[in-house]
Amino acid sequence: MQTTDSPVAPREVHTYYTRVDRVFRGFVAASALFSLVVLMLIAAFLLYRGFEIFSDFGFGFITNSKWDIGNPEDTSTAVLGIGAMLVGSVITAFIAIIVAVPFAMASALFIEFYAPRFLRTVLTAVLDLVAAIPSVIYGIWGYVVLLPLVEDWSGTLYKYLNWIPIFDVQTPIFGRSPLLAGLLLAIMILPIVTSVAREVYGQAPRDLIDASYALGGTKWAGIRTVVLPFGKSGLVGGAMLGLGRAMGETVAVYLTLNLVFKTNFQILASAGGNVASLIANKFGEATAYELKALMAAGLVLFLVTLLVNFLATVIVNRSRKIV
Amino acid sequence: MSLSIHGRVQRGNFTLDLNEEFHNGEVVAVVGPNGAGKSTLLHLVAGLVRLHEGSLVVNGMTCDAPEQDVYVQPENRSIGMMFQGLHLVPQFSSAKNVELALQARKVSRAQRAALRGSLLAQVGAGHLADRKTAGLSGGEAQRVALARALAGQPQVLLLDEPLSAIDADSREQLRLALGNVLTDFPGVVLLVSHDPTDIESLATRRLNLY
Amino acid sequence: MRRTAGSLSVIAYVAMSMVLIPIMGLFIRVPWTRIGDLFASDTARTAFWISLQTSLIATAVCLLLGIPLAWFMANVSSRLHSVLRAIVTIPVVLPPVVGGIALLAAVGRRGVFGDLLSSIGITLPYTRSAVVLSQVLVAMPFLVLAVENHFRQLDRGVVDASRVMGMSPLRSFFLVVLPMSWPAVVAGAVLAWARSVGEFGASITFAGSLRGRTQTLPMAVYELLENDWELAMGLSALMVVFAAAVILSLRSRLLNTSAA
Repeated sequence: MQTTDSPVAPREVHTYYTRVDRVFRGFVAASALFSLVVLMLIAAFLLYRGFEIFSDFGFGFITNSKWDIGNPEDTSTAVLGIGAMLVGSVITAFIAIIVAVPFAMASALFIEFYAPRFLRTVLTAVLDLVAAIPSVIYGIWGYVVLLPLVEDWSGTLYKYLNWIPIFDVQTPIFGRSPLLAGLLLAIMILPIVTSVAREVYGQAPRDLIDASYALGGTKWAGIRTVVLPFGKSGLVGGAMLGLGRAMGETVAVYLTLNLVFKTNFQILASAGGNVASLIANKFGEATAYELKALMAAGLVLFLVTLLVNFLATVIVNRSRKIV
Repeated sequence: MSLSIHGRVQRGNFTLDLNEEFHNGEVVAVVGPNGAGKSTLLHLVAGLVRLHEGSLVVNGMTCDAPEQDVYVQPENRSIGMMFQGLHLVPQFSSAKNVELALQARKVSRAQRAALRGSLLAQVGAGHLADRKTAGLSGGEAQRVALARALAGQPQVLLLDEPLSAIDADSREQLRLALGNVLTDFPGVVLLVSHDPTDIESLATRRLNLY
Repeated sequence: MRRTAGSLSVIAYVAMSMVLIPIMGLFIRVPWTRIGDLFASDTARTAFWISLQTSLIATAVCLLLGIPLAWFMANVSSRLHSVLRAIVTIPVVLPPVVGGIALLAAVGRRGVFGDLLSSIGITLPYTRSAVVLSQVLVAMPFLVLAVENHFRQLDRGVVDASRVMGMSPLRSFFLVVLPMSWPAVVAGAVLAWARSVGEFGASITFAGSLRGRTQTLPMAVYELLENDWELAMGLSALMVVFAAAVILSLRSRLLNTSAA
């Protein structure tokens, strides 16, 4: 095809990258490094600013449940501890996970294996959409709509199950309790856990499912013997992600859980709080010393979520190795 | 002017020793069992695989010689390649796919518009210009890939099973089109094929890899 | 088998209602007669524009930094990749309040770099840039993970082919990789934008809720809660409509192009 009078002249040959290419490569590597550094700095700064608090209160900052600034002029009169808030974070997040995971599993299986194409598109779009809804809106809904309902349910639970310690309360007045906050968080994390579960189940080996089909098994048998074992660790990873989310939630918990500095294991009682909502709540009028304490609290929360995230990664990675 | 390869490729347990000279105007059928390194040879010439030792010289220019610290990036060699998997951009039309290769060689916009049509016509794919390559049949996509490989006016043409996976009729047609292209091609052509008819009708010599 | 499919679908529908009922419940409780007040309200109007402005800038920043990062991650060895991925995922679970308070600890007035920044005339906290920064911090991972996932599934042969055709890595990226990744980039940007619009925890700690300066829609809702419940709910409903309109229109366009 090549003729000498063709308009495409033979090219000159260069051996090295142009400067633009090197700049691009540098930019790409730098942006990667940048995010890495930012995250390390987050921990470093929080530690740096909160260090005084840890040296003043030691381990008591985590176990103690009192939050008293004392005399604002004299920091030695302050007693600060986030024990109650940590307990609240964990309890509400666990309620959320226990409620959300079964629903998320069922929805994911349904969307992935049973729903007709059209419904599948709609449901995936819905999952995307709810990601955009700010938590303050969930908080409002939780306060306006869910609160009266949960008060009713709490009454029933108390009436029949008050012999179980967690369902017991001193006075049968319910309200903005850990149960309410936990249920609201369950609704809030349901989309993300469902998305992860759907992704995990979608990667299950189709040929094995088909094989189980071909051997005369039902679709459900295929799901039970192939998909569920395959997706088990992936699902745990997704649940951990939801757990991290639930522990970090701020405004929805602030609106639906009575902030009381008292360690409360009774999920129907109107008392509790979590670390994130403590920070948002105290932050506005905080003294310099209290601000340091809030940063220390931020570091504790950061480390807890890191730990959860790390466990999730380990579990998910282990599942990949087995498969 | 020619293509000479003296050296060794090493990837894990796989090694390929080469000691070959090819001359311009030759159409070399590269044959051998699966795993013998036919595709590796083509990727080596293109610069997608590097020599472990030795040297690769294309038309007097050393393109790969690890001992002398020479390695020319693929884009700076003058290679036209038709991959076994074709690797067209599925979202683009046939014309746009061919145009990419012209764009890569910095051909002006006006010339690109004229050339992409004639390149497609040359391989009998003029009517496919506006179709997305994702929707093309095997034979149609192979024509577009061939036009794309020729677009940059390469000095070396590498064809990895250019006539595979299509039905007998279109295979016959494409073989004719390819034959016309290859007789006019001034440089070295390396053609990987399993089909005796293809080799018989297209190649001027054979290279056996074991 | 029918029965399992049936019960599974019942649970799935319950779950989907759990997701949707809050939104519908909100719409039922909204005092629609007062919707005029909402449009007349200065707070709502300025908050809307600030939200629109900051979220769009934040999305642009995410694209600018996130796409190269995603490309980098998709091209490194698998060991480095898993490390990078773990790091990038942290902000997904990082409580936004912690992100905000960390930003304050770093560049706040009393922060580590506060003096340095103010000596060169830059004050970040309680400015609109602070809002953007908070949104970027929270939204970036969503874009990076979506785009990176796509980059990894890309037909690498096409990139190789473009190199052999004569494209430098840079030209190959812009002429081949990006056009092929368009749907994933849009999807990632939508996700990042959605996160930016809904961002609350990081901005309230780092940027504050200053009406007309840093108060975005979620913060305006939060503030309105204290003095006008009805208006707060109306504003929430409007936010949902706003977000839904943007996401659904982008999504349907995406689906159309991928189907074509």
